[in-house]
Amino acid sequence: MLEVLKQIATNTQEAGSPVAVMFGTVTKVSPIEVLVDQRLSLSNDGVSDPSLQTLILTEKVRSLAVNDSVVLLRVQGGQQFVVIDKVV
Amino acid sequence: MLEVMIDNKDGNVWDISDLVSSFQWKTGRIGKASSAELQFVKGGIYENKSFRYSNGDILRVKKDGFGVFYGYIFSIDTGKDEQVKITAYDQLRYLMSNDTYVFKNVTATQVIQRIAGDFGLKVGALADTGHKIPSMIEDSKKLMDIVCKALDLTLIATTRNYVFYDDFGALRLRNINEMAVEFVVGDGSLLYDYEFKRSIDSDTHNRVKLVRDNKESGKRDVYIAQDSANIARWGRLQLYETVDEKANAAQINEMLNNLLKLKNREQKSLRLSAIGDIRVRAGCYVPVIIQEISINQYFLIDECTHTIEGADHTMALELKVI
Repeated sequence: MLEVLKQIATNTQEAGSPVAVMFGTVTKVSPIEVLVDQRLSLSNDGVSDPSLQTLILTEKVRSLAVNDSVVLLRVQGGQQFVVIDKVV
Repeated sequence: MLEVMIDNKDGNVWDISDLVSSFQWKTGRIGKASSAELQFVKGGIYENKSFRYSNGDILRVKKDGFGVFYGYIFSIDTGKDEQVKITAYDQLRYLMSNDTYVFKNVTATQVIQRIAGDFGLKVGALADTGHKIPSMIEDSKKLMDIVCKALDLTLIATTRNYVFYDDFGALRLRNINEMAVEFVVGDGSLLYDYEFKRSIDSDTHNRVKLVRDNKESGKRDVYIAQDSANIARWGRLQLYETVDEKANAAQINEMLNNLLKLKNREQKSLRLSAIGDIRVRAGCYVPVIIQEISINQYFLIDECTHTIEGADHTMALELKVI
């Protein structure tokens, strides 16, 4: 019973897509595309308004190259991802 | 006449219509597979030696030629006596697993087609929802949740409401406007009992207070709307919410009025027990006439349970009262 409750609680949490740190690999530049865990392909839709972009870049990661590893932060709700920095 | 078939998927199809003592069929409007519960008798003297039923077998139920249920057995309950209980779900049950999808500029219809294709589900007639959803990133989400979210976004953007269900073995998507049934449930027609609840206990508010932190002035802006007549009747039931800083006064006032309009009323729920008509399922629009509580209008069915025991066929309807 306790295990079931824990499982339900975890699933409920996960369903809300809370903020999470993720790693990804750059697969394409301009427009930039990042692949997370070989399953989730994120791309910057080329929209100028940052609140509508899926992939939000910061000043630090202006110049990314293909195959760069990056650290991403998933925004609550899981519809947007902020690229924080390059992993070296 | 109820016709019940079990398909072993190995070339054998068993007609167990005469063994079935009770059959129950439940449908839900949003995000639920319909389920069928069947009770029958095992180990009869004339029972064929090779008669088997296992999980995953196809259960097909028809009533008077009308295709009611086509699904797969998910659990079998039995004991020392001869009663067997089988629970089966339709195809939507297979949408309860998780996966990752990224959608860009697709309609809800395309979302369903894509997922159904990937999971090998049979698709029937799907209405074209028309509305293109700009972006949906679903990372390890329940497939059913993804579909419901796409339909929700369509509803919000276009006010068109769609029902997604399994229609005798094939997925269907229909606009609720096409789901009206052609008979009345009410006084002198099918109805034999009802439960009508009016409550201000949950989700009823006659005063709405919205606050916004104003960075420029460093103060809290407070917006209030209320219905004094109702406050005199029910006492003050306040709804308090914080709004986004970016919202302007006009937007907040609009939100205020909308919230008050929505919450400043009794919350009603209606449950009907009626003689069964197998064409009714969750998502249908049904006209209801009950004079005693002065109801005469169409209702959307949220949940529907058909029970067939021998010659008795009844249905219980949970209605959405807006």
